[in-house]
Amino acid sequence: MGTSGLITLAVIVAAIFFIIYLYNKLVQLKNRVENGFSQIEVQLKRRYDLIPNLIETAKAYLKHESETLEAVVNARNAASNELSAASNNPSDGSHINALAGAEKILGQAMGKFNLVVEAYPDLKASANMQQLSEELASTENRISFARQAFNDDVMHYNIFRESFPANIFASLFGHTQKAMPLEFEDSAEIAVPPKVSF
Amino acid sequence: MNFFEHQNAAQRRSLQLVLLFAVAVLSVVFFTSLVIAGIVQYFFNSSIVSTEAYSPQSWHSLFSSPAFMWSALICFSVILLGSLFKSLQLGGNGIAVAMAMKGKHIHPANKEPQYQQLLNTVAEMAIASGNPVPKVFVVPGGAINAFAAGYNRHQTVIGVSEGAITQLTRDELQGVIAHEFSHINFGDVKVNMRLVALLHGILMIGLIGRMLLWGGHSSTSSTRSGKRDSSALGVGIALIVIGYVGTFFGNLIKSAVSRQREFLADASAVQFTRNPDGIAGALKKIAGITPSRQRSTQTETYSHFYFSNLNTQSLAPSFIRGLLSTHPPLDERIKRLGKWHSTESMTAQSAQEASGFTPNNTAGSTEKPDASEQVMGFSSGANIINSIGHPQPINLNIAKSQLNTLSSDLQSYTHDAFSARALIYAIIINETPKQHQATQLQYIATNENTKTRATVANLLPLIHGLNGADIYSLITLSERALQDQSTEQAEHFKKVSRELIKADKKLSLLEWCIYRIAISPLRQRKSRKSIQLSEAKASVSMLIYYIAAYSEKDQQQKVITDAEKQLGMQCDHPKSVSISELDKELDQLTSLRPLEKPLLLKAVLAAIKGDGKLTDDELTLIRMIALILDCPIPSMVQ
Repeated sequence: MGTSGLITLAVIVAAIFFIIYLYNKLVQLKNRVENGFSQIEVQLKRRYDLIPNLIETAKAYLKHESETLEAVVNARNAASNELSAASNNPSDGSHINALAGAEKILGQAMGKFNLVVEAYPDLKASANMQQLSEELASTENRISFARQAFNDDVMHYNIFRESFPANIFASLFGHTQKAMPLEFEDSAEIAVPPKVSF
Repeated sequence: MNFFEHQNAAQRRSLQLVLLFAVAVLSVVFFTSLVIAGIVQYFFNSSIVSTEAYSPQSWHSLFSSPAFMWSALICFSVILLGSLFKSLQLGGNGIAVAMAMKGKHIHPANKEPQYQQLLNTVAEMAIASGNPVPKVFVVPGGAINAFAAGYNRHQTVIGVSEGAITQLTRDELQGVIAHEFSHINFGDVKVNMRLVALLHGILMIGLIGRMLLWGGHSSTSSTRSGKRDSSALGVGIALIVIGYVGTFFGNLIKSAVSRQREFLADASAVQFTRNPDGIAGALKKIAGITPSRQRSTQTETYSHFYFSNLNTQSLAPSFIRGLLSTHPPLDERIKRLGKWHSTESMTAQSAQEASGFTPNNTAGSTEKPDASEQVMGFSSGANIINSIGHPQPINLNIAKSQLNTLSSDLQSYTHDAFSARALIYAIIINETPKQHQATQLQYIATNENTKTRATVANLLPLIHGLNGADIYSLITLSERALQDQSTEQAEHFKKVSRELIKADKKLSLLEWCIYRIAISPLRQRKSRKSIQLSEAKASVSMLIYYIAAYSEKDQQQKVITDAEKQLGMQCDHPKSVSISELDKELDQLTSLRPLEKPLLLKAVLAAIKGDGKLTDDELTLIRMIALILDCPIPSMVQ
């Protein structure tokens, strides 16, 4: 056997090794995206579980605000449905976008709710309400941190998927779609009721 | 054998494994090439083979033929690539193994009672044995099984099958988890990860054969020529046969390596829980269930990770089955467990004797650890070192009561990455003198955000009164959540933690240990050669001098001489003192030979203890250093 033959074999082995590396790196990065989403999922679920309690507590005080309450409940249910759809395939961008849309509506509904609560000092001062808002706020913190991690993971996955030479093999290995970052309105803004000055 | 000897044995086994696999690979390569070269010669140079097929010349020409050389090279490349593929795929991470087995992560905050029980059991066992609390995965499948996977104890995950959760009682589940923790403690898990990668290379030959066969089969229906078809079929069958032979030898090695470990793991599980019924009950239940459902090519690859055999139903004659099984026969395991059970007063000692390992004093002294002293809380140094790797029911009870007394509010901070990092910041700040705390909080506000600052500020009063054991447990509980940070977040976390440590312009060893343990699951895996104590003189000196800096000025020289006496070597004054320097030196010490670690630990112990009794802080410091040195000390009370 000749030297050229050996060199050819070495090149082929190196090429296969490189493809193996690409394949595994893609899988690894996608796994990270999925793991990242499952962390958000846990916290979002927690929030969707807290909201009905919040509404239940507020109901007794807000007899004339049923419209606002209903809007929150509906938005919460819609967002919860979108979450289960997205969790089946977190690297599918369309579900992520739908979830972000539903979250936006929920955010607006909650904003309105907070505004209404401001007008009822008794409700605001109730121990139950305070504890729930405290818990909601800390859940928000966790969500935004998990979301940041997820978006970082998505970015790493996308950059690698689109870079040369991974882009040649990505669709071949089943990585046909770009992952989508999950963008919410700044949740801190919503949680803080607007200040009223006289 | 004690913990360090077991670890040493695990390391040696790892080496043996590589050697045995090399032999297996070479034989597979040799026979594959021989067959292919033979076929080639038969078809193309029939003149040589026809009459003098068995003369030395013909053999010589066979070996020197290009066909032989080429098949050898290609075959070798295939095996190499196969092994590389697997080792890249696993990437050092237990999570990758769990995901390859379609495992579902059970979040620590999961409220479902059955998962809650599993999570509690795992957390108790981890804290009792001084290990980081691993992530928990549930793997689909009705059969009862469990596994532990990961390259080091900070990145290990525990997987449990759905069947185990639904069918086992709490005691049985506890026995199974204790068995897995023994694998984590003694370093078997790391060997198993290597095993998967290596074996996959040999499996490749058979896989390619199968692919050729299927490819040939499917093309029959298409319009391809029949001749090409049959040749692919022929080569395919040949490769499958060779592949099976290779796999057979691979499995033989795999089984020999892992089977003997199972008795040990059963034994230490009994010693841990002092309840042979638990693990025996689990084994009996497995024996009563047809396990064929768990079988697939995927699970086959990971069979030795599991708690029990996957292939008890194979049709092979029983003696071959015995050779190939990764675990000892169930009835044998149950019988051994029964033997301990029948011993009327089931003491830790009798369990150790039955299993053939006793945690003797490593320095060779013959005194056995006094049971009453152990109950008193391991106050003597030798007992602390003896307890490493051999958690007892008392440690489990301590862990349980600890988890019960730690407020669930505080524990919930270890469930997610955001709160876990706030908790670590708070723990570091709590160790710093009061006058610097405002600066530290301000630093968090500007470099993280106000939300983190508020969370840390809320945490400070909660952790202020905690004892060292609780702090240690909180850190080991946090490790699993800290792994969920993205690369950027992890880098930032490291940076902020370092700045917090530096805030008081003093580098305290305790703060540094907290930092080092918190970032360990985020560190890249590096395989290092194990080194001797004499090679690590600079690192040892640095550690001892740091510890000496803890005691009163007039005591420091004595502390250093005490440690030197234990070590039997001179310590030099370290040149520089920075976090990154200490980091590098401690890395060296982590890869110290297992048999030399107890010597270092004794010196550390002597230095920290001084003359008096161990205080709570000192005990915590020792436990943290031991964890960093990869030999965690079980939970204990002062």
